[in-house]
Amino acid sequence: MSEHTILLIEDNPDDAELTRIAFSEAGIDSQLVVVGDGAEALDYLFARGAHEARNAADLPSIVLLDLNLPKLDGREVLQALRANPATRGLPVVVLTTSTEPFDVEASYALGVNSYIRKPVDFKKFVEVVKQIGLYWLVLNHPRG
Amino acid sequence: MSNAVPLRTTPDVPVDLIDQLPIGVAVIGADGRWQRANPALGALLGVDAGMLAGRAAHHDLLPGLSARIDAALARLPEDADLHDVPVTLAAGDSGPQRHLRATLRPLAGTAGALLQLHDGSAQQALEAQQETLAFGISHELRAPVRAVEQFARRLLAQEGDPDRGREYLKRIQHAAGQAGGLIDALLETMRASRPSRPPAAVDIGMLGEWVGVELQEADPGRPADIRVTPDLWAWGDEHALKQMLGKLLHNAWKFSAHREVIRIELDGARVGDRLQLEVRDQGRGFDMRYAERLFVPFRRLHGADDGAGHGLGLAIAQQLARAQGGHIRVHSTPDVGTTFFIDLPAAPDEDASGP
Repeated sequence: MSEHTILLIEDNPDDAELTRIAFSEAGIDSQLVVVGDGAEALDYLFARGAHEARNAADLPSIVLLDLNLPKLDGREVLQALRANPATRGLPVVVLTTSTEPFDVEASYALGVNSYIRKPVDFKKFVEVVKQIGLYWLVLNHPRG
Repeated sequence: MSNAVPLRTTPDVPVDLIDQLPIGVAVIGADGRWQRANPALGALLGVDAGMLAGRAAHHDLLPGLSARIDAALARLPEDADLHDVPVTLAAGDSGPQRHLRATLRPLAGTAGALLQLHDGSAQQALEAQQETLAFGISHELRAPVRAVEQFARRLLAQEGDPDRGREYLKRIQHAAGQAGGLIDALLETMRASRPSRPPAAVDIGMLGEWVGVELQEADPGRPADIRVTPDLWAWGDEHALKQMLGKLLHNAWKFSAHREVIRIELDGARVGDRLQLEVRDQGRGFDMRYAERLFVPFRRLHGADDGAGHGLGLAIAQQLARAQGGHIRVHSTPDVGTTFFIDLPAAPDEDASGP
């Protein structure tokens, strides 16, 4: 079982790969798990369906959530996470793009912890991880 | 304003002509009392037109607009001009919220004005759809542009790993292809809801065979069994109906790609003056909870790895069907398959034998 996992909910394979590259270049050694749609994301987090064998208590340190997703969109995923006591406290960072009319207030009301723009800006990511107090969990590269 | 030209009343036009007009019309006196209203106007407002004369009916029927009508009437006889003003009627017993558009003009030769009302719902729906599309397209086009920019940057920066370099180039090529496909689909979407050529009897069976051959040619190594029932005759524009079948069969094809043999059936029957078609596949299917998103632009039900495309194909198919006076419904079971039910006007009997 991996110690620290980042769950990336992203349907665009290029954006997923760019995020993976950005983390790898930045030396983040957390395991990056990618799921491609909102329904699968919930199956993963609640350990059901195709992810039934997973331990539901083993939650990722942080969830990176794209808002435009097949099946359930990002907002619906958020609502489901916030409605369940097990995942209510899970840190969720929304991935947005410059063209999205991203409503910061509405997203905070939904329980988003922070947001960053695509392609993932690593400096911003580190800042966000610091803000939500996950620095040592996510960025635990042993550099001394 | 140029549209302020007063209307002329012509004495020899039969009075009941106004009752035949397909748009809602009322004659309103300078005192605000309605002198007459036609049945089309009564239908739009959900009341009996005969009951509207003799009172300032706009006060209770068009509350959102009545102050503006009164102000315009006060400017009579010169200028009572209101042009194409949107009016929203609250939802009531007669149905959901309605969007109307109103125009008021002085009526020459009388002290009154002519109020015209028409249903703006279709226009409103079109505007909403265009806004969704404009936003969707900019968002969707951003993704391949971002991929090209980012992978090209990394290609330049990376040193001496030819495999990685080739992978980045493949991603760049793929992203450019996606952007191109999206642009083509956008044009198709814009054209799909336009009125088409004059309708004629269309041999759906022949079009289905034709589309099947095209799909097989585009993917020659793939074993496929496409069965089309002959002698199904629709009434519409052949080009639009072929395009619609193309979208539906292409959808069936790509979501059946994981099967050993792709099996698609197109059959149907004439029911009264309608032709009811079914396109059945044995593909991935989907959960019916998501069915209402299927025909909405860019609301995909599958990820790119499962065959999802630019997210416009079925939205275009639905628009094409509507433009032909029909519609498409869907039923699906995950891992069993999907059936599209297409309802179209049938060709009249004498045309059904074909040339």
